[in-house]
Amino acid sequence: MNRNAFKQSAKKLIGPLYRKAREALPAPVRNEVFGYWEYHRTRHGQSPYWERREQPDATRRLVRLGFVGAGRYAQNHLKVLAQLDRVELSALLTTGGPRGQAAAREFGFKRTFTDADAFFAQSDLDAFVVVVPPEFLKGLALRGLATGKPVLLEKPPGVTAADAAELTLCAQAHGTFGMVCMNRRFFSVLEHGLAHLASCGPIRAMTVEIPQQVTRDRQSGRVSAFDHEHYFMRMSIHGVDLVRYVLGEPLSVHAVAHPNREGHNASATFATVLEFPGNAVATITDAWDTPHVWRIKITAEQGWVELEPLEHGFIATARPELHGGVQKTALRPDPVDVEFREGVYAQDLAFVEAVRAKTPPTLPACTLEDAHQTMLLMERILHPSNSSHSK
Amino acid sequence: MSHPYRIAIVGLGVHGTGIAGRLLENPARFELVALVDASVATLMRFRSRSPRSRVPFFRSVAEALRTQPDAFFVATPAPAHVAGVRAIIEGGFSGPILIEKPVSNSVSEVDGLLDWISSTGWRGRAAVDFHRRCAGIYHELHRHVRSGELGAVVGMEFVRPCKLSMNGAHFADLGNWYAGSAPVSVKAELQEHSTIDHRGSAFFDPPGRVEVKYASGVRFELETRQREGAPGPFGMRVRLEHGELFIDDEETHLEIRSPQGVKRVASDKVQFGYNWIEATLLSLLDASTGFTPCSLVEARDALAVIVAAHVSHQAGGRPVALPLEGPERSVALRVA
Repeated sequence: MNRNAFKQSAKKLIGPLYRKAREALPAPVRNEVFGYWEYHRTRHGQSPYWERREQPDATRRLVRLGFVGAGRYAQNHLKVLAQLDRVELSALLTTGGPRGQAAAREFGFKRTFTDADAFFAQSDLDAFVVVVPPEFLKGLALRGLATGKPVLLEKPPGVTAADAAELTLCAQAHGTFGMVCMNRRFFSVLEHGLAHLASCGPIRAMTVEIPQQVTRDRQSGRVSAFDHEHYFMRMSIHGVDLVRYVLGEPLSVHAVAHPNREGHNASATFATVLEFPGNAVATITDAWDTPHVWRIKITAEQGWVELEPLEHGFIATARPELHGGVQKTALRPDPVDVEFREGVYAQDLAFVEAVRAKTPPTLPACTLEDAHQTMLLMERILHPSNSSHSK
Repeated sequence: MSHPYRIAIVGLGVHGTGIAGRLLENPARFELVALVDASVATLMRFRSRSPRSRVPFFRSVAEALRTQPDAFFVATPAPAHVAGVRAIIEGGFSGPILIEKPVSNSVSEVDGLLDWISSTGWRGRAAVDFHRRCAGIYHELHRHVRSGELGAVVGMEFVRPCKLSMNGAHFADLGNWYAGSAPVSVKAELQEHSTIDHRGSAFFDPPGRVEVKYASGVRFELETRQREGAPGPFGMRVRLEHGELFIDDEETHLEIRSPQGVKRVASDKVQFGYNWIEATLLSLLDASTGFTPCSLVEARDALAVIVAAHVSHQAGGRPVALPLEGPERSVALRVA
């Protein structure tokens, strides 16, 4: 018997036994027993993967940045920007507290400022990065844009769609661009999962669950009164933006909102069904004060991507020839998403490359115009009386 | 226009991604300046194959026009071709546009596009990617047919299991090209089911047996069903009065049978035929290549054969006269 004939005979013999054993077990046990083997059997061939870390290149033009903020989240950007090739952290604007001084030392800023006028008057900078609390974000971003230099700003771009529009118009008026930090778009596991889905037929559905711990955050003092007032725009924007990012502009929005403003938004509920071209649909469920685990499932005709939380997940492919019909493969994150805050490396790199090229970044980056559309959608969800009609 | 040519690709499906990869491999001749698709998933698939590439990605043609391409390649599914071309022209583009085959899923939609282009006075040039017209061996076959050295065409056959509007459409076009006269009727028997593939279940594109009759009396038989005992060998055969021309299924050679004997011409096919697509694109950009790409009118005639095949099948295999008239001309196929 030759080798191929032997393999065929072995498959015929073992295959049915394997399938019977697998199907006889309850799902959790089945996954435990067979999952490891199936994962290792397929992961190299099935899961798209690539790395984002840039290679040093002495011919790159130096990009000099003015950075605003030194808070906890700003550290995530500073760690990345300090690592990027041919990027100089030139100037830092803070309130003058100890965090600012520590950041100036740690990241080697050449100049530090507490005076915004003097900071934005510097002529030797190529761009600004603004990472400050929402109540100060719009004002500082507007000042940066008014210099005619590109600005990378944290989300949300203001707390209303009108704020985002004002920022957009300011950038246009001064011949520059702004990019909003929608870092979830840059999560490597999401990108790898989407790459898989591209070969699974059209995307038909997306479900997003983005619960928030509003009561816990309010009681702990972790959010300011301003933040609490605009909690939905500030916290739910990532989930809503991801739907727009993946599926494009909705044809219609059907929303239910119970914000419970009288009760400090405790147990608030927002639920939305969105319709897209090609009969694709999305649902966004935002049930506040439920366990804080975000989930996303994007379903194409022959497979899906599932992230829970968004930093981890798997792809699944409908493969009728396999046992059970579905083959699941864990998504492998890029090492930059392990070393740094997820998505921030690729996002900040995209901004620096756009500054260097002197052109606005393209997808997956979120420009101010793009973010404005997300803010408009957020308002349609928050105020459903405007949302039941088609766009 | 000078090298490298700046190319924008609209539609980043499997085919568009393949073309993008091919163009990136040839930076001396092409610069990929924009990718357009409604789905970011396609961008990520492209990134997974070309992670260092920084080609800008857009959701709309209007945005891509800002990159000032020399040429557009429209590789979306067929129902979106005409809208894509209109968006490109309406955006002010006056360079060459290459459209993937089939040119549309509806003959009347192509009529509308031709009328509209004519009314705008557009000075650009649009062609359809029936790239076998710009392939060395198929071109050589055409040269032999036109030279008349083996006499007139007496019949043609194409045998190969494939989807009718995908690979089958190439040969419907070649049949029209080689016949040298207009198709006058089509009758067909198609399979009831169409394989669902990565394009999605919304598309219906079954294989089948199609017979095309030309005004010259020539008959062209296309057999694209997967069948046990199908007549072989697979490939395209043109029978002439004094000989026969045959290109095998793998397109490795052109076989010329004449009273003097059998001669084989080796194929110029490279990388699954992507070099032929490249040659088609170049023929639009540079008139000196020696190839003439398929015009919109010729592509509409090839589409009419496919539409007529579906109409004939639905009518129990009765012959359908060409050119299509009335409601048959407006039939919109569910093809990609």
